[in-house]
Amino acid sequence: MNNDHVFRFHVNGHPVEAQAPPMQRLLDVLRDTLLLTGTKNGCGRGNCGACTVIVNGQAVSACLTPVVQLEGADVQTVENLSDHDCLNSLQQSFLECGGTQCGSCTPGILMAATAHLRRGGGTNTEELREMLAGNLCRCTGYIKIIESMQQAAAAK
Amino acid sequence: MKTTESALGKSVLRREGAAKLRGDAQFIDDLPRDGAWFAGTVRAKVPHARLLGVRRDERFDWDRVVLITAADIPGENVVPVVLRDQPSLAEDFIRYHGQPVALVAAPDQETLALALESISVLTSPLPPVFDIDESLEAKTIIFGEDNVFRTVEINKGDATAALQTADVVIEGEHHTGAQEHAYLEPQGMQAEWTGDGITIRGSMQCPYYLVKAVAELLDLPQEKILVIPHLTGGAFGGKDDFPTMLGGHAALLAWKTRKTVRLIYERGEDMRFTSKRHPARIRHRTGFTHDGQLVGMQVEMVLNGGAYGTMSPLVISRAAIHAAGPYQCDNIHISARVVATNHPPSGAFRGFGAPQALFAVDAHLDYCASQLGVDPLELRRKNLIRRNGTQATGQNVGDDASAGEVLERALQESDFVARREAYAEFNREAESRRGADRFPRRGIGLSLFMHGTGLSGYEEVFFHSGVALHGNADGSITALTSQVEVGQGTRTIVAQLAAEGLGIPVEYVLTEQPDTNQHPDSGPMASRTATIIGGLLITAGKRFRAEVERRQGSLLPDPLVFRATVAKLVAGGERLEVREHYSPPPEMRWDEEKHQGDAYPAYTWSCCVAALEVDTLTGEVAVLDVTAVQDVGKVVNPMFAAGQVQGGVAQGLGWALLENVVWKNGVMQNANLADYSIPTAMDLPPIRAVFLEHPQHRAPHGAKGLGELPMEGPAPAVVNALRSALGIHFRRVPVTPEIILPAWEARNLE
Repeated sequence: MNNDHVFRFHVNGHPVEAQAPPMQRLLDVLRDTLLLTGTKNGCGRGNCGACTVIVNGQAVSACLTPVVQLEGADVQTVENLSDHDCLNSLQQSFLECGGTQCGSCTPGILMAATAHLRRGGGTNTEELREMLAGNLCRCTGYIKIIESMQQAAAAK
Repeated sequence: MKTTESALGKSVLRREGAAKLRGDAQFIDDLPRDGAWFAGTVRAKVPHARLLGVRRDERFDWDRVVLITAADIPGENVVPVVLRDQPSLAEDFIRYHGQPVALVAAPDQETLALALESISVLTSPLPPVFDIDESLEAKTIIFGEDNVFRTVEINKGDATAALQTADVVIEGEHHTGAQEHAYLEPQGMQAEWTGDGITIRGSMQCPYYLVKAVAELLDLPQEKILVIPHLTGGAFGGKDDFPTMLGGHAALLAWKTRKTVRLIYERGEDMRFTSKRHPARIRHRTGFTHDGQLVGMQVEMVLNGGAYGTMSPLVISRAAIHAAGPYQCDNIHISARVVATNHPPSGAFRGFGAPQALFAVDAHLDYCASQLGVDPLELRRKNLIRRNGTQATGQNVGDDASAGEVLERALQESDFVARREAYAEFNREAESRRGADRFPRRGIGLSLFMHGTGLSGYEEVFFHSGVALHGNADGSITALTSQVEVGQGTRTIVAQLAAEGLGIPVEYVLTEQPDTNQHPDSGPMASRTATIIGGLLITAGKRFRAEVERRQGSLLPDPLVFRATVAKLVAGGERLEVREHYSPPPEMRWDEEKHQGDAYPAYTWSCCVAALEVDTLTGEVAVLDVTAVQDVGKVVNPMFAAGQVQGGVAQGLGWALLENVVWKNGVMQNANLADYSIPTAMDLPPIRAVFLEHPQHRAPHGAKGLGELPMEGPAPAVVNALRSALGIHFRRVPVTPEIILPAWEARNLE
């Protein structure tokens, strides 16, 4: 029995028609159907934040977001940040400040930070630590991630 | 004329950084799935048993999938690490809950899931052994004749006699828990049958381990096995030995199906069934004169190795060599054993046995100071290893003796003495305060430690690591090693180090994703890339330059001219390639049997200071700040070096305060990233990294190892800071609120 429905939404500005069961995870639609593998599968249960994407301006875990919630939504992933090969100012700051090491948590952190900065979130260290609490990083101790975000915010 | 400025000591930007930031850096799970089959593992559900067989549910159509058990393995059923005791798939016995018994590959995930549900493992239970003492009793045998994977004894002087005549003898027993690596990218492999061999891509640290292992497993010549370590999303030792098993499984399925097979663990499977840091119990008996001079040390250490030997025989060696810490004592006896239990096998983890040993010795020494009525700073100053001091192995450290300097520098950088006094005052006032203000107490503590650079003498000789430099038609030079980029910045620093030897700009050096066809075996990671491999690259670079200049007949100091000359020679059909292999410095002596001699070419010395606040109503600890000072010989890339220290300190704080593996019948109960808490951004303090650079003379550029060291400092520093805050000596990490609160309440009842 086929339980598939068609869901229409936008990913990185492009219209998408996903034929999928209603509870299909956005994570799988992005990675398996649209081949947007920049969004990482770190834990599959919303604990690590590696799959963070922006849906209608909010940072969400793609592994906890069923496609049924996406009708008409605007989804943005890490692939949308740079203009072709040219890094945006946040990405450039991460490169210059050492905010990425192994890179597994990086796309999710970039998206969480992007949502935060776009809505005018605070950029002192305590505010950024709180904002980052849902995104685990095992490499950096978060110090250079926070410095990267502060450098990008200061350049604005 | 231009000459080249050295690239060492510059924060050269991460080579693969932009790809990681754009999201188009591919990890193993990101590879295109065209036609690849999905694979899963059938696991035992008991910790110790006789294996009777597997039962297939005949309602499932088994022609839809490929199933492999031990009987199907064409070569030897072994995961060859050190002892060769571990089968790739269980054959006669189950030694841990979760041990792989069979493998299944299917064309899609639904079919795979159905197949895995349709198979059960038949066993006849045996009594399980979970703790160290039960294992040592050897009533139930899991390994060999006595459950001991390896015993290492180190003797210097006569510790027994020294303790008999010491003015004061102080005893202490410390425990450390298992720790999960929690790399953000779970383990994964993809293997492909190539017609007469196998290509394996995956997340791993040591591609050459896998070449040898898969050749044995499939009974194929090594040249038929190509291993390509993919960009790896964190490792920390968890992708050192374990991928030897996982890659073997993927290879078996590719061989049997004649297809491309993906074997990617999900997080829960990864946390339950892959290796952990060895839990340890360490007992000290330490003799002093009345004024605090160390006269004798006895250390008895037992590590829990889990069900199979994996890296344990080497882990116990490093643990033993570090067991006396950075202290000078003429009479030392160290007895270190690693034993088998029915837990999943313990394995390599950042520090490789040294963190357990260093936690115990430095927490114990700080406790001894309190018992002797001596300032712990003075006790350390009196006993730390100085120039030409000798360690437990008899190694004379020569000029490589920065313990005192890192200590003094850390005291100064952290304003230790003044803050210690201020916190004591804060705590005195807390007792007189009312309301919520009376409950926080503060403390500051430090740890002094060292980490041996590279592998111990015996192992470094065994690996005989190689590197190569290859001239290209455009005049660039490719640096070839098998060091894998796992986040530490290998691709970038390999280029910096080769450029240093070659005397050319770092942009002229190319570094690629390694593979086992083109790239020589440069051995495991183990904090070796900047120092051991770096030394080989610099030497190779100098030889390469000399060769180009010899062929050209003149010196070529201008980098543009050098590059043009390389291009011209290569275009003219000349092959420009230089290989360099490690050989130990001739004056180094090592007796593996007695563990005597020059264990390592050099030591990285470090002092870690942690300040913290304890909420005595809840037992929760907030670390206020950490200062880590280390003499690394030479900093290759300051940004990456600071990143290693900050990340390592974070991992050490997790081990010290948060990361508690809850076991039940040999199974991790909290196998997810919510219930097993690694530090979040909210848990971590500012972490300051300070580097001293006293070059070591056994590497051409003076660098020593860095990667593992920083995680070793926080646990003893935290326990020492807790005593300064609460007046209680905690003997166990992780020291969680569940331990702190009852201890504090009990103390107040006294």
